[in-house]
Amino acid sequence: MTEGVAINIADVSLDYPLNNKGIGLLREILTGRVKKNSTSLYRALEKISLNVKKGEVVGLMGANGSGKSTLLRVIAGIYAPDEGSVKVRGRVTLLAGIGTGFQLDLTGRENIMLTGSIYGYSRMEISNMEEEIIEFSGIGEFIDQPIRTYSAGMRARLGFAIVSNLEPDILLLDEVMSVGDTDFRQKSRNKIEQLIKGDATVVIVSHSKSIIKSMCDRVFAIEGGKIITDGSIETALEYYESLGK
Amino acid sequence: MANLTVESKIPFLLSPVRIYRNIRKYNYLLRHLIGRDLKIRYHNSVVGYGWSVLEPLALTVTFYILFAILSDDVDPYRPLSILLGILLWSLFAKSFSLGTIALQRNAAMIKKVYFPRELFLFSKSGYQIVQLSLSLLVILPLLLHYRLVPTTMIIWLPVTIVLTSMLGLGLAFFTSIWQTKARDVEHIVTIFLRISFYLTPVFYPLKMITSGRIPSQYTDVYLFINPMATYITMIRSAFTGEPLNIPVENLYVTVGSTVAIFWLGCIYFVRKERQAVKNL
Repeated sequence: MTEGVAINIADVSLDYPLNNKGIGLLREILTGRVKKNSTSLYRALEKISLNVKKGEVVGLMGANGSGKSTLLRVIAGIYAPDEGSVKVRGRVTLLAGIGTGFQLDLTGRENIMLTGSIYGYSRMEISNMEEEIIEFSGIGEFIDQPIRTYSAGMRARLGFAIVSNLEPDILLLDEVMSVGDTDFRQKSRNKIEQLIKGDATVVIVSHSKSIIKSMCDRVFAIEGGKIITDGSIETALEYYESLGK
Repeated sequence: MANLTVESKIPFLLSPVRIYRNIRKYNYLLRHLIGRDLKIRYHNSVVGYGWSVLEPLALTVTFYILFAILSDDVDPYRPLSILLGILLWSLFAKSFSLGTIALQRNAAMIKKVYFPRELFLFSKSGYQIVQLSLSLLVILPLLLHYRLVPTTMIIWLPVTIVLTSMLGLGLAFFTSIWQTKARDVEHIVTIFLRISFYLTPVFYPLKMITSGRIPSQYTDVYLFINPMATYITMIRSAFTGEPLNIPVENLYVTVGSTVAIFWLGCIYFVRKERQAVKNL
């Protein structure tokens, strides 16, 4: 991998198995094989190649189901590509939707510890960051209450606070910049900008043109699992606007 | 530094080695997942950890009464034997059944962050071992009552715990993958465990099978297909100091098959896990 490259995606394809029923399902379980090129596979990513430099901010735009989230999961190592290769340099964290798989019966503080250790941080490291995370999330005294008592906004804020304060080398954001109230949105934007200045590499999936325009160095449009633009912000936005028509 | 895409160069045949390395590397997370389960289980309960002891105790009393009505066999250590049987059986049954659903039930977490997925299965087994250790405290008053002093046979205790977990985990390595595809699997496992509970000497002694109504030529087959029968007898001997009364060749076969199931399970899991999570 060349120096200065944080994410190297080369010819990556990925198939999702579709639900088989009855005998087909039984055969699939017993043999462990899904017939290639048949109706039982759905191609979610098709020969995607992308290089992201260290410290770069890349945006991904596209309609629902175009493969953006799948691509982030491949970068995060959650899915292994069926073809091609993904190389990633540094510690990756993915923030998608609300929370990071919180345990509802545990308190906010316990969930910080659990989430931190899931992302590979030691007890000491997490303890050092704990106060900062609580401060940033603005949860206040509720931090020692079980997560199930939190509102959706509070959960989203805590999730963002944990992942962004873990100071990852590579931060993958899936539709999370629009969580919380206006105040918190501004705060999370500042936090990301601060991370970018600190040399973090960021990949953002967003439907918000303003976020894409103001934060990204390059933007790609994705359709049907393929990258269809060359990275310039204007072309991607043009394509995205044409979707609505 | 976590470099996620560097596949380890260990061949599939040595999957257990790979799993062992992952467990060592992520042992803090394993402990955390076990702690999470304990915390959640006893959250908001008055008796708390006491429940891990009360549940097997209640079962022991039930089967003690049942057995006293149904059989005139005299086992001097009957309550102790039943309790040990139930404790070791739970270790096996829960490692197997909770392991089966471990991937599917943790889908939310699996889809958000990568770490070796076998940790979910190991954490279920580890949690059961913690429970078992807590419950073993109840054994102490029983040992005092029977004036049993542990002999060298006590080494069977850790051996059976390890082998029982390996058996439960080994099977769960297969079923947890199947479960991501078809939810029928967990129900099949539940039924399988219910039937085998009665076919295993959990609340009765092994000698009711080996020197009972079953023709002796079948008892070898029985011991071969039911490793738990051997392990439960072992854990009883560990405390009572009574001889095992199982031929040594049978022990080799039982231990060998458990190790083989675990080994094959590891290989299967490592091969299939990456594809299986796409079903979640």
